[in-house]
Amino acid sequence: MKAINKNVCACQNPEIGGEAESPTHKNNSPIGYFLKGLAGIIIWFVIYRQLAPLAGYLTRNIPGLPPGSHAAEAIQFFLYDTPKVLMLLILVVYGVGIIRTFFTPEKTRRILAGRREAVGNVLAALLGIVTPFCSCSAVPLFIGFVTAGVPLGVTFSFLIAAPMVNEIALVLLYGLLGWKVAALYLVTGLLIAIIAGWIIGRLGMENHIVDWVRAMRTTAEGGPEETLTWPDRFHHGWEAVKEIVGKVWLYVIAGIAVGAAIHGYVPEGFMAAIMGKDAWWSVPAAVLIGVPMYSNAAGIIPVIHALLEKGAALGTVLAFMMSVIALSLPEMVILRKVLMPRLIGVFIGVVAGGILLVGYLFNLII
Amino acid sequence: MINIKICGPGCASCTKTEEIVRQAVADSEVNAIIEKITDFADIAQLGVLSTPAVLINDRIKCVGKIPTQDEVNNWLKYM
Repeated sequence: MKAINKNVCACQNPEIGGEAESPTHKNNSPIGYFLKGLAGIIIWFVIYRQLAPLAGYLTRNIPGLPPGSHAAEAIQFFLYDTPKVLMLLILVVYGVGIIRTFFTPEKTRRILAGRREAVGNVLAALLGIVTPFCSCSAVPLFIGFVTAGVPLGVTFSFLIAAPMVNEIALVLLYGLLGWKVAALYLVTGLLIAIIAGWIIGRLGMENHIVDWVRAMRTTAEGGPEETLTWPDRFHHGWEAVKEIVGKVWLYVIAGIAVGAAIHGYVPEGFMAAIMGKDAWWSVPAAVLIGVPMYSNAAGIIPVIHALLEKGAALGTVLAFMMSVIALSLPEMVILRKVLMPRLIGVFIGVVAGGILLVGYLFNLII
Repeated sequence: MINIKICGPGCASCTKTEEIVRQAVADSEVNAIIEKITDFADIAQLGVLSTPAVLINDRIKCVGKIPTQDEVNNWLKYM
């Protein structure tokens, strides 16, 4: 069986183009990987379906815990949500990890270089979701984009979308609040990135980039083209799971624990007065509190989930979350190396304005 | 004599990358100068968009990820 599998390996398929260079995974055939993946997904589903009954069963069988009590509710919430969210996270991070092997910042730059605004802003925001990007390389990326002819506003659309619309936020929103909220977040997050970038482009603030960057010229060429085989891509997906889930699992559990405590102990409607629809000032307050907070989506969403249950308005809560992950103080400090204060101010102002609008809009229509 | 440049502002991934490269150089007994590039302007000038990145004789070998020990060993073998 093994021998047959070897014949269909990537070496024979010119499209995948893996010669003998891929040193690590040349012995595994893509078909074997697909079969393993399929089996994995089936097992994943079987376990996933059992989580709710299992959490209920475990909670009922804790000695000395009266059913329906605050403590029982909090514990059941925790026992169900933790494995559920972690499982969703593993599945999606794996999938996105594989998708990301098709995109690199270099490729994205080549697509965006010389693009006209509007179309460029839309493309940049969409590419921001799938291009692997970490905020510690925000500066070289910014310089590389702008000096290679990517318009300033288009670059900003990318820089706004990349952290704000990410797979972790979407998974958690989907897992805890349902697909409608996740979809709303995706669409409004993209719109903010597109429109804010477009406005920054319209303002013509190119002369608010520091001088040494403007004097620089780079090309959109350069960098080696990596030829990846499918096994390589699967491997990358798995690496992403190890790295990302390994980093955020603790935040997720801590966040869900806080959420569980709020769920079990805070009285119904408690948040309505401070974060409800009628408190108009709560949206700007949420944004203001959110900006200096630096957290990842993983830690913040379970808390948000619990707040919503106790009567906080969806718009207010989404605005809070967006400002926490999209506008972070450390990133501003790094960007100060290449942007003059005025441009940073405009950047914060435009994005915060967009988030405010989204907050009010949702409070109005939902 | 080959020239190896490691680009990165000094985050954990960059430090790890440097360790791996130094290990590979030590193992292979290749005669190499290792430079660490931390300045953003210099990094961008080299054509690097995301860090950590490794360049050998000014050719980009890897960007945006930590290379594995095997990968670096291989680059040095074919120098």
